[in-house]
Amino acid sequence: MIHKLKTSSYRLPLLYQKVSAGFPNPCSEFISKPISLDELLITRPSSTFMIRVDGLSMTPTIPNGAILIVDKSINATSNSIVVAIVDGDFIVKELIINKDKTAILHSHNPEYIDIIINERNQDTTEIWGVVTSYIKQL
Amino acid sequence: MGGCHLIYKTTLMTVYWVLADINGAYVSFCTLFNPQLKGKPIGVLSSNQGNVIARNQEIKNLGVKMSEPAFRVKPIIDKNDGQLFGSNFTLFGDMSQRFHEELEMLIINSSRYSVDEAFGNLDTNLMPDLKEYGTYIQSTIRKNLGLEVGIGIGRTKTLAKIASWASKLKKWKSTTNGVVVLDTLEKETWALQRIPVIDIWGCGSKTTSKLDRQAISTGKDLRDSDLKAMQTMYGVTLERTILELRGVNAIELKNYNDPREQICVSRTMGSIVTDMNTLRSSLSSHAKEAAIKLRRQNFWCRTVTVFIATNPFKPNDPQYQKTLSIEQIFYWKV
Repeated sequence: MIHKLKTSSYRLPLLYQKVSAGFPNPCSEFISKPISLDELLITRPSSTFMIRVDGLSMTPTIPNGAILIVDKSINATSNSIVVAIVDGDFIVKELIINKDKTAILHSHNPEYIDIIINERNQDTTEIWGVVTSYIKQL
Repeated sequence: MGGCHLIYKTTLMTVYWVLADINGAYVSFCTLFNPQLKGKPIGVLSSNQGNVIARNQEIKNLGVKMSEPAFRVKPIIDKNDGQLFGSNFTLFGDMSQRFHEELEMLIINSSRYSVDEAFGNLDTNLMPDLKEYGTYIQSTIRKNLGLEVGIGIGRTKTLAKIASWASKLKKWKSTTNGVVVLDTLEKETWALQRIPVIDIWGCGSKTTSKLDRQAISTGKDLRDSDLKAMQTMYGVTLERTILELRGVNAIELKNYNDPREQICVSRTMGSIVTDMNTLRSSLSSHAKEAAIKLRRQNFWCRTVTVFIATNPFKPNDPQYQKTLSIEQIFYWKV
């Protein structure tokens, strides 16, 4: 499922304090300039698409139901998390490019097998875009 | 024709017009998110789901014509494992917006001419190799949006449009790769010899058939015609087109976001209508819809036109069409 981008104008301050355990101090003096989630997550709106994940193949890195932020303008390199099209289906995987120029679409969930890109399937495989972040509501 | 050749001469110009347009825009928007449909026949239906308004090559190959009614196309599509999409204007608008935003980063003075077409300028001082830059625009849009675009480049908007027409032709695709640059008089003449007048920007079917009777059938014929005589006979619009064919910029662009000059509501009847009452009631509901659109934009109008036509897809049935217009000196608020 692909979502349309809609801009908003919410700007909330970011607390500098890192949350490791317990609660942050709400009176912290170290508050940054207000930031916008749009600006933080979407650097290039015209080529950025949002796609919701349906499946477990990338857990624990990307949980099921997360919304991926995908920028098509970025060139995928080895270790990029990519949205790819394999046999007409959208999938999200880690792209691994080997020294001998062969490539693998690697699932982070060990229960899923990797997809090896070779002469047989390279024409039906396409890197659609590079995942820059994901949003997961709890 | 005395002196005309002087105008034709390409002087030391550096600013060219470029037209970028999306190949099969609506269909491409739909397939972008449905990769499993690649290579299958696909059509997009009008907003009332009545007629085909966009086709890909595969559906064209099956003989499906523009604005063919959906019920006729449906069995063909089902048999060939294709798909018909409704008009999703939210999606179309979003993709169109992205297309224009991308082009605004790539070309000078980019102007949104329509949903899937943008005009702009290229300067050879900045981009010395126009063909290479055109190819760069094409590959950038392909990568960033997953859309195929045709690129036409010429001295005027009309010549850029003709270059774009040439970029679409299948028989030249292997040479052009969808990017055509008309930057010399020789190339312009080559393209103009091959384009029929009907395919030239601003030449309607009425003008074309009149021109045809004067033995003006190609772009070259039109360019080399007598400007004064043509102006007298056809008016200033055609004169401007001829000037543009000669390399003189004469046509101003309108932004498609500007207020519309006409509002049209037309529908194919669901079934064959044979009585006056049904026709009258459907005409009045169309008129009402048009009036709602007009009021929503807070506009006034001066002319109201009503037209009816029989089904052109049944050529064996008797055919009839009629258009009636009422024009007022004052503007109406309907």
